[in-house]
Amino acid sequence: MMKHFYQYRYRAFKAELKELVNQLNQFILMITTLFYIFLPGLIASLFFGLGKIVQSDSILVSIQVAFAYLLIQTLLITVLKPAILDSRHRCFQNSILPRAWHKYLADVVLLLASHVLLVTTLILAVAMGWEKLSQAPQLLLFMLTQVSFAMGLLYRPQAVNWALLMAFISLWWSPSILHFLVCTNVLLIGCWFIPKVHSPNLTYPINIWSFWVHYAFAHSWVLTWRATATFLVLWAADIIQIMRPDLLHWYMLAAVLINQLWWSTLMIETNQHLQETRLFWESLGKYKDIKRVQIFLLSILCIILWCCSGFLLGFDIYMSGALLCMPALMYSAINKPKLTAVVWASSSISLFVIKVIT
Amino acid sequence: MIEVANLTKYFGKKCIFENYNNTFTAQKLCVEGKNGLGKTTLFTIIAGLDSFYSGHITLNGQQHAHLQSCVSLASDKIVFPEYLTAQQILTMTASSWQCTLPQQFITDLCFDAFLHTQVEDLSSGNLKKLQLINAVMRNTPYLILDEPSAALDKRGLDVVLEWICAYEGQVIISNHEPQPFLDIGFDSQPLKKV
Repeated sequence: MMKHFYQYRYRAFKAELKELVNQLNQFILMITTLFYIFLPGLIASLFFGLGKIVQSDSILVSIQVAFAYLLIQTLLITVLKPAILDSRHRCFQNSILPRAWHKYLADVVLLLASHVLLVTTLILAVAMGWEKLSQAPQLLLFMLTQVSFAMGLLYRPQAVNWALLMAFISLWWSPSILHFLVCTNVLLIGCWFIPKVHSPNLTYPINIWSFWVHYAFAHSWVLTWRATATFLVLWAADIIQIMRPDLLHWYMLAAVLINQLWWSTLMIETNQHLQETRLFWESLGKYKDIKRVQIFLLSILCIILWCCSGFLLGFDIYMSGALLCMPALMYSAINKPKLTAVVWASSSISLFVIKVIT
Repeated sequence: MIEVANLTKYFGKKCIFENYNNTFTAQKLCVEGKNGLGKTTLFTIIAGLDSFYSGHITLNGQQHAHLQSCVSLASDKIVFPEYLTAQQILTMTASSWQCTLPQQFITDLCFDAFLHTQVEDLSSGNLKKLQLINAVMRNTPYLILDEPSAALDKRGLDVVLEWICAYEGQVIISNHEPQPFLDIGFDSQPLKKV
């Protein structure tokens, strides 16, 4: 009876997804071109990580991997959320639906269909078979946690953020992965009832400097996903530092360069925002000033991140090379945003070639 | 008097104006023209907000390096950062141009209650009021109002008309329903691109 509605949701999902792919087209192309040899390895590493949840010598490693997966899925689903919910046309959906449950059913189906990490876990579970699976109940519980966190992200993202924060604190105290997963789900349920925290209404005088604080509060997602991705990359490098210290000097440079890529694309986003409001700034006679402040603040941010990476993983001359590539990245992000990925790839390859030669 | 000489303006490959000449002499003038003719583009150029064109704009026969210091514009084209409050927008304008908030005008427009509302939460009528207040408060000798009555309620329109009557500088508007403005003495001039 409501077939037309589900058809519409499917079409809307596909259209949004297409738009998203178009936006990330160059980045996806660059990653697949540069790292296509490593892509099977990357997919295999997803299963390898899940294997650590099923069985590991260290409880802490199992728990850390489970947490990292939840963090990654939070990033992925946040990106897909507008497509899953068809957020832009939510009012339209309400206007054509006699009963709301159709809407929620479509949400859940699209969520499950687009939840890549859940599908990966499902494949592993099927491959393991029921007998082995019954000996590893933590994998089933982990799947349940994946679903509960994904659902939470759709309808109560703040609860997921709180639960992840508390889960991170409890990482080192959990006696077993089962205990950790149960606690994480209980935390999510508890956090569901935390009243929504509204971003503070900043009332102090606004100028070209404090404007960027407002921007950061209003667009917290652009900072959150970058901070989370940076954290995951540095965490992975830190684990490598413990497991294979002999390889660290390679991974260290890669980690710094990858983080540099996240943060230099922030220049593209803020620039886009300034372009949208350009006439407003021109009408104030402050367009050039606000751009100068933008470049200054982002440069400082990149330098601080570079320093943090260095203190955590160690400094060497190639790390300095990565810092020297930053102005070129910034320049391309401002003037030729479509070439940013190319500039990043060229500078990264050059640094690695120099490292190999010397 | 505003004079536009040899104006050429392109958006990508699309030509909006080519060697366009016009003189706006009337003290209160309503520029008329169908949609897409380039009225708003012309206004942003006259207001000094768009520097990507060739040609000359003169105000009372004089060229100005910084047109925006003499001309203020209220237009949908000027997009305010949506997460700032109306008060913050007006405060920035006040700081930049060393002017004060037109408290009486704000009160007359019944806008006081919305000063602390974020731009994204303003209704289209209130957004139009914010644009008008933002332009009017600068007290420039030239004022351009792009569709000033669009989305305004009756009371809001009356306040704007009253304020324009008292304004001593040159005011140019564009409007698809110009009658209330013609009634208070506006001249009508079509935007012809010959």
